[in-house]
Amino acid sequence: MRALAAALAALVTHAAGALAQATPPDMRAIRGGTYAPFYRLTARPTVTVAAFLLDARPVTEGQFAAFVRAHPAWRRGRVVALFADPGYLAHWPDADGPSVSADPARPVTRVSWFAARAYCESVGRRLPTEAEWEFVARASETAPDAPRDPATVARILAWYGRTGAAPPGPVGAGRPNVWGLHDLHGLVWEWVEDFNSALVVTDSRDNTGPGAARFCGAASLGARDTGDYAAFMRYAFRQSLRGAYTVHNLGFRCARDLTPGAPR
Amino acid sequence: MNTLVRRLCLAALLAACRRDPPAAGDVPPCHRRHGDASTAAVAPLPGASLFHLEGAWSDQAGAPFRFASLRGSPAVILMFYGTCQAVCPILIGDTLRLEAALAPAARARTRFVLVTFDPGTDTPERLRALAAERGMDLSRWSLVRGADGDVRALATVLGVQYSRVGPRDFTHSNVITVVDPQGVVARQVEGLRQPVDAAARAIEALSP
Repeated sequence: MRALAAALAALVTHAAGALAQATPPDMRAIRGGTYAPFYRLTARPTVTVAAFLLDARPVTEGQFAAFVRAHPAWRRGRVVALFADPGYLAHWPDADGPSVSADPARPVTRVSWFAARAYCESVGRRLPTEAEWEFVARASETAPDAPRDPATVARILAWYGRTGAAPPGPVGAGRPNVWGLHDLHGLVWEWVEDFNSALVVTDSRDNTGPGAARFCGAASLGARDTGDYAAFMRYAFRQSLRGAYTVHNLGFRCARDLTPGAPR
Repeated sequence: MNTLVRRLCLAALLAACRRDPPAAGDVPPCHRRHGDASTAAVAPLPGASLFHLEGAWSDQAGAPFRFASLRGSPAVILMFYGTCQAVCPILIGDTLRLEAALAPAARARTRFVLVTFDPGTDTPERLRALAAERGMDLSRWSLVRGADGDVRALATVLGVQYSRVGPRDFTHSNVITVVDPQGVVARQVEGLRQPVDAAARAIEALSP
């Protein structure tokens, strides 16, 4: 009996260890799912996301400073122009020194897509896809799929409507959503791997001009859920970006495949 | 012979790169010198050069391809996918039209690079078949495939938007890009069946 108990205990420890290994403490396991995004594609009315891991919080200035120290090619004074515009880390006091942020607990901003990607790669992770990010962004504090929950929408839109360049507060201060994810809304905008997806035509009124010619398949696009204005704002914002752009309120978090090599 | 040796060296360097992936952000040793040894010693690349892009690319022969190998020549880059029925054949036709519009001397020194959005479907065999079907001169044209993340990075620097919308279907922006001999974007033609004469004159004006 004692042997059985010991074996069971070992098994439990092993299982817990495997789980802990699968989900690092700073990440959350996201069970996959299918949802209908606000835009509609004739060929793909719904989006299916496989299970994945996502950072619980945006990457902080402190974490990014450590990355820059370890990878001098990403110092503000050295970064290749193709990969970051002149605003890159412009709020940091030191262009080519040891790279110390004045406020290590706040989310890092003024980083380009290339820099965000390089950071995630340096920790064995990747940027989330747009589909993954939007999937978890639909959650409220109590439900995984609440893009029309009035209180949540009102809070998000109130934040989108706020202007000004005040630096964001520390990460993790707000309540997490139902997945245990902090700060998806209300702190900074976030890069995704395929921010330059072709799902939204920049100006949909222009169906006959160069806009129509520029896109293959543009005619098959249309807004599905015009009530999800917050999602529309995010897609429109992403479409306005280029990979080298840096913005005072645009940061990122990293993701990882749950199953190595799983399609996403 | 010299070229062959150089290619073998390059292949070995690339293989070394892949075996031991460098820490992100650092310039790995194999990328400090550019593939084309004849230009390796010249001035550093401009910051906006897309030759800074890394990635393991291969061409229609399955041989390693490096964008830095375009250094010294004007180049025309088009992103496409082979199973596209409607738009990509027109875009490829537009690029062939641009080639035909060049003065012979400029045509001889210009490189044309087609990069697929769909490396899983567009195998080297399919790329060779496409080249034959469209009459591409493979001394000037390369049909290139790379890993999804590298394709995304190239699209990002070219300002090309795309998404996979089906197993073999993509929606994408239609952009033909001219880069100068240093890899800096010199001109872009956006849209289908656009006039190419201005782009041809721009290429002719680029000195090697």
